[in-house]
Formats: sequence, C-alpha cells, structure tokens
Amino acid sequence: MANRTTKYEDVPATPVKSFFVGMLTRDIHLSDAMLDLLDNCVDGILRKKKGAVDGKHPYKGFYAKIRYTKDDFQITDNCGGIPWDLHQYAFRMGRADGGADANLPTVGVYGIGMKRAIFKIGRHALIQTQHKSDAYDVEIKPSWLEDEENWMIPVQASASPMREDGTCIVISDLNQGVKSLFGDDKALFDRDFKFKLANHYAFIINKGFEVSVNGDLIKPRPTELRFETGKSKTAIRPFIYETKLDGVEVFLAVGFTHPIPSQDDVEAEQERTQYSSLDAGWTVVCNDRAVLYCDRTELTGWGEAGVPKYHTQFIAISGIVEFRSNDASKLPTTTTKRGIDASSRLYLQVKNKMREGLRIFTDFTNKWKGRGLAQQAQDRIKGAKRRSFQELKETSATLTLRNVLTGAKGRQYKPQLPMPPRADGGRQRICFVRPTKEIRDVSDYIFGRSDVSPSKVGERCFELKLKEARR
Amino acid sequence: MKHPAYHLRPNKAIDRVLLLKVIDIMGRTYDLSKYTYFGLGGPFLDDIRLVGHEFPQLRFVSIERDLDTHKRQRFHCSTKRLRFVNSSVETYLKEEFPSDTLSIFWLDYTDLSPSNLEEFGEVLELVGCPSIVKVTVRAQFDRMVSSAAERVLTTDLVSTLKDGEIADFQNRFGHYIEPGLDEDQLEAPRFAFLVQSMFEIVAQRTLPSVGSKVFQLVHSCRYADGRSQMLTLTGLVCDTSERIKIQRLYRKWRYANLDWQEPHHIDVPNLSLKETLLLEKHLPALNRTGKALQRCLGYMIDESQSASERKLRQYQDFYQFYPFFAKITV
Repeated sequence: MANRTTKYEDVPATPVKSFFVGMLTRDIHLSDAMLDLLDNCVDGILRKKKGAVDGKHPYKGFYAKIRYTKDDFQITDNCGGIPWDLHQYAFRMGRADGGADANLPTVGVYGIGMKRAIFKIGRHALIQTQHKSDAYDVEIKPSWLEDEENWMIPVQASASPMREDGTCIVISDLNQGVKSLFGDDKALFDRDFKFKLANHYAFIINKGFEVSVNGDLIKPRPTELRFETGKSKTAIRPFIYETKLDGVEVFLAVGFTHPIPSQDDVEAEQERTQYSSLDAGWTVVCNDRAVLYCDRTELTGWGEAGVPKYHTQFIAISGIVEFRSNDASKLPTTTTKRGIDASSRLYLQVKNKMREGLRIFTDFTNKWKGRGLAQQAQDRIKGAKRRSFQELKETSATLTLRNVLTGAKGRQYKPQLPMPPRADGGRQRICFVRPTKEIRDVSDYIFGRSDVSPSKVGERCFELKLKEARR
Repeated sequence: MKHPAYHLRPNKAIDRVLLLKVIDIMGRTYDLSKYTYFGLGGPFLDDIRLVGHEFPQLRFVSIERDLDTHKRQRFHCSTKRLRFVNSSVETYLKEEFPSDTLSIFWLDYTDLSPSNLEEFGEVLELVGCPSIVKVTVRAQFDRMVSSAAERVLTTDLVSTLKDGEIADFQNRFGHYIEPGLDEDQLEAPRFAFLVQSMFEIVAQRTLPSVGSKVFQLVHSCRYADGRSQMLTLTGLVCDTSERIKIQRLYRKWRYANLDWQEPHHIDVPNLSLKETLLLEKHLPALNRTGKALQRCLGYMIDESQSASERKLRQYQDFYQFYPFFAKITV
C-alpha cells in the first residue's frame, strides 16, 4: 500500500449564495414565487389579527397591489408589516425554529418564501416595511449576491413613514426569463397569473382580501358544487366528509359543478377540443390558500383503486379538500406551498375518502352518459343550485352525517343520486360509422337540414324503424 | 356546405386587399418566389385569384375538407401554380404540411371555436421564418337572450341566463382568456378585442419570446361581413432576432398594429356607381380626412358627420379596390 500524504481535515458545509440565488429558484415557477409573496401578506394579517379570522369577511380592509413591467416588479400591502422581532425569520435563509407564528393558521414553515421569490424575480430588491413603531428598509444589491463572504444584509431606518403598517417590495434588474414574461409575453403571463390568483386565492378574496394586478382587481373563481334541495329521496348533492386528525381539521366535498357531457360531446371532444377542463378535478386548500388546483392525476386519486383515470367525460366533477391547522408544519404541503406532499400520512388517509367520493360521481356519469339519458341528467343537474365551499360547510351542519368507523375516522354524508330508469331486458349501445356525406344526406331527408348531429340522425332512423317493426 | 356570397362583400374585399399590402411590404425585403400561399378559399377561390394576380411568383395550395366544394374549386382554378388538397386543415397540418415552408397562410374561418385557436398555434409552430400567418374568425357573441326577450322575462331569469352564457363561454375558451370576464366584454367592439387577445395568448404560448422564433403582429381589423362581425389578424412568424427589423418594415403603414392595440375598424361605405364616379374625379388626394369628399357629395352617407367622414376616409384609402357589383347576362 502506497504511503498517503494527504492530510484529512474537517470540510466546510457552509452554504453558498449561488445555491440560494441560482439553484433553489429553479424549483419554483415565477407565478408561484409571486404567490409566496402574497402568502406573506396574508400571514401578516393573521399576525395582526392574532389569528382571529373567523366570520364572513375577516380580511376586509386589507389589500395587496402587484405591479410589474419589463423593468421592475412591485408588491405593496397594508397587512401589518414585518415586526423587527421577526427579522431573523424574515431575512435569514431558512427558519431556525418554529416559534415565530405558533398558534396562527399561517402557511410559512421553512422561512424561504420571500427570499426565494426575490431571487427568482431579479437581482436588486428594496424592502420597506412598517410595523407599529418599527419602520426600516432592507436593500439587497447585485453586489451582495455575488459576495460569497458577506452574509449580512444592510438595514436602515426608513427615511419616510408609510401611510399604513405594511410592506413594499420593489425588485429591479429583472432576470432575463422574467423580463420576457413581464414584457413580450405579458398577455400570456397576465392570463396565467391572474387565473392562478383567482383560483388559489379564491377563499381569501371571498373573505374580503383585495388583490390587484397592474390595477385590475382580481375576482375570485371559487369552486361551486351543485346542491339539490327538496324532499325527493334522491338528490344531486355532493359527497361530504369531515374529521380532525392530529390537530388538523379536514373538510372534503366532491360533486358536480356543471351538467355532465353527453356521449356526443365526449366524442366531439376526442376529435377536437371543445371545452376547457378548467374546473374539473381536486382543489386542495391549506389554511385558506389553494396549494393544488383542479388536479386530475393519481396524486388526487384519479386512476387508482377503482377510480377511472380522468377523461373529458368527467369534466363536470370537482372536489375540494380543506386542511386547517395552527401549526403549518402539520399541513401536507411541499416547500413551494403549491403542491401536496404525497407521502404525508394525513393526506394518504384523506385520499381514501377523496377516492370514495369520486367513485360515486364517476359511476353516475357512466350510467347516465348514454344517448337519450344524458339530457335528463343534464336537466336535473342544471336545476340544482350552486353552493360555494363555505355554504356547503354551513349546510353540512343541517345534513345527517354518519360516523365513519373504519380508516380515517370522522363523519360523512353520502348522497343518494338519481338512477336511470331500468329498461325491460336491459340496455345496449348501438354504434357505427358512416361517411359524412351519407349522414348529411339522411339528415336532410329526415329533418330537412343537413347539419343535424350524427347521433341524432342515427337515433331517429332507429326510432322510425322500431315504430315500423312494431306496427 | 353553405357558403356566404363571398364575392359580394365590400369589407371582406378590403380585408383581402390589406393582405396584399402585408405581402407587398414583406416582398420588398424577402424573395416571394420562395413562398407558398395556403388558403381556405371557399368555392370561388377569390383570395387565390386576387393574390395570384398581384404576386404571380407565388405557389398556391387550396385546402378544402368538403369534396363537392373541393371539386367546385377545381372548376374555378385560376392558375397553373395551384394545388388542390381535399382535407381538413387539421389533417393537412399533421400529415402533409412540409415543416419550415416559407408560407403565406390564411386561416379564413367563418366561426370561432377552440379548434380555430389551436390550428392557429399549429401553423405558427410549423411555418418557416419569416412567414405570414393571417387568421379570420367570427367575433360576435351570440346571446341566448335577445333584447326583446329581456323585456318580458323576469330580472332573475335574465340574470341566470346571462350568467349561464358567460359560464359557457368561459368553459369553452377559459384557456385563452383572463378570469373575471365582464358582460360588456361580450359586446361589440370589445368582443373583437377580447378575441384578438385570445390569439395573442395562443401566439405567446406557442412561440414564447425566449425561443428562437416569435409571432410579430403587423395588422388587425374588425369589420361587418353581412350580419356577422369578423376579426382578422395578420402577423409574421420570424426569427426572434429579426423582430425589430420586421417592426421597422411595417411601422409606417397606416393600418399597422404592432403591439396588439385595438383592431382597426374597416367600414367602407355602400356607394352607388354614380357616387363612386363622382368621388373618383377627386382622387387620389393628399388630404385624407374624408372632409373634402363629404363636401363633394354635399350630403351625409351615415347618421352623423363624423361617421360619414370616417366612411369616406376609408373609401379614399381603398377606392382602387372598392368592389363594384353588377348584374350581367352571359
């Protein structure tokens, strides 16, 4: 064995700034990073109100204004500012302990959101904040980002006071990709960001928080499920489940948002896009903020354990699960707060119930989608009132919820949905393909116009022959 | 297989002329003999006849899904350089279109559907640089409740029906519009602007500016075509590095729209042969306000002075191409 001259010594494990600035930012989409900044605004309100956010409009009077151009980005809020006591949590890269927001239903856990968002957007940031008697400015310059030795960020007392307690972050020297999204591709980014905001922040905006983007006030897009009232034995209503597990309150509802599509609609969709599947799928909400929106993958139970994979025929099915806790670390979210920790034990238990609910509505869709039946189901769903998630939570108090004794214990409401009438000897489907021109000719012959849908033409042919056969 | 009377539409005729101008400006810098014109020309192939007359160096492809219309097009063939394809645009793009072809592609639709927007995106992706891509769609929102019905129905019912029609529209076009659609965005002319922004989103989604090629809008206009409001937008798919150059080419053109502003309004007046002969005596003229033509006529041709002058101004711009329809016996 050769003599070794290498002298081993302890290796430094100190972080490098380029990791935070260049690498960590790759894990998050720009719009999610911007939502992180908004999350901080809402966490500020929670601190200011000491977590008292019950009632219909607890966030009323608070706002966040976002503006961006190809040269800079700005977010201004009146949500209480950053107390100097929290400067360690707010400006250090990562959170040393979980004590800062104990007993508040915030979503911040890791202490990385604001910094990561700033680095994602640009290289020069000025943060001005005011909380009661604390009023200070923090400036992050490009030269600081490049200096691996200096980890101290300069702070100075604000020269001019803000009108209200709050925070204003201005970011310039934008990163190249961001410059394009805020400039040449602005129409697309505006659409996607506003859409995300309207969905992810629907709960909070509905509770009074005002968010504007480049001067446009964002209107929420809450998921609403159909709920039939009346005394009929069967009703179009959602499946509801509620429980409290390990300090986390869970409320789940899944049902129909729209009338189910007919077989014709589904077939037309296969040929060419007819609909946007915008509202279909599962939305997961943690402490009022949507962390997953309209997911239609295995992550939310589609395509596993007897639930069919998502398909356009299920475009009318939506579900919402809400997790609430004063300990944000117990919520099943990822570090970006825009995703679900699929291995979370809590989430896996709740997912069983999500699948159970889904199955009820996929079965219903399959039973009614056939020609001649879909219309009846569509009419029934159309006649049912839309109810927001909040309204469903209130309604659940008036419904008879059964105790769930196996799996994740809790209480649930299983709707008795209407069933299609039974035909003597059962039903079978007839399906065939003919040249378009021939279908048009038959359509013209029967209906006097050539543009009647192929299924209606086929169905009418059958009806006429049936009548003749039974004469 | 019903076709509007394509050959009797003055605003549509001007829309075609505007395409000639776009091609002409590009042709000053690029060799048009390398280009192929792709059109959905309807039974009479008016567009191909017009473009072929002005730019005989182009090759032409007519795409038509319906077999009888396709045969009818063959009957109206106006140039040897024209190839006929009996296929849908979707199938043609997937199976036959040679990628990176230098193209002048006019997606001339009569309706508006998500598949129109998708096909527009596919064309942007496939054509070579620089290519002209023009798309025409119906930009009119069809109301479920007519204003007459609104007067007899209860307020609640009208409101429910209106909510329903907005929800349906969002359900179909949600991928291409911002959330929180206002009801007045569905009214003309704002609806045309909304439709234009849907194409802007498709263009940016298909060819983001960080990529190697982009879509640069050069012109857009809205006009009435019979009872329908139409929107046309035309742009160039070009190398990202050539965007500024393309912008410079079109910047001085009166009908340019380089940054997705509101579309121009094309509204040429209906004039008799006697009126056109009178006006042509005073054209061309340097003053393009329409006031001189108004004085020349001595009466208004629309309800207000400004509307009348606006129409005459447009006539002044396009009088050389103003279509004249007459009954003839062959």
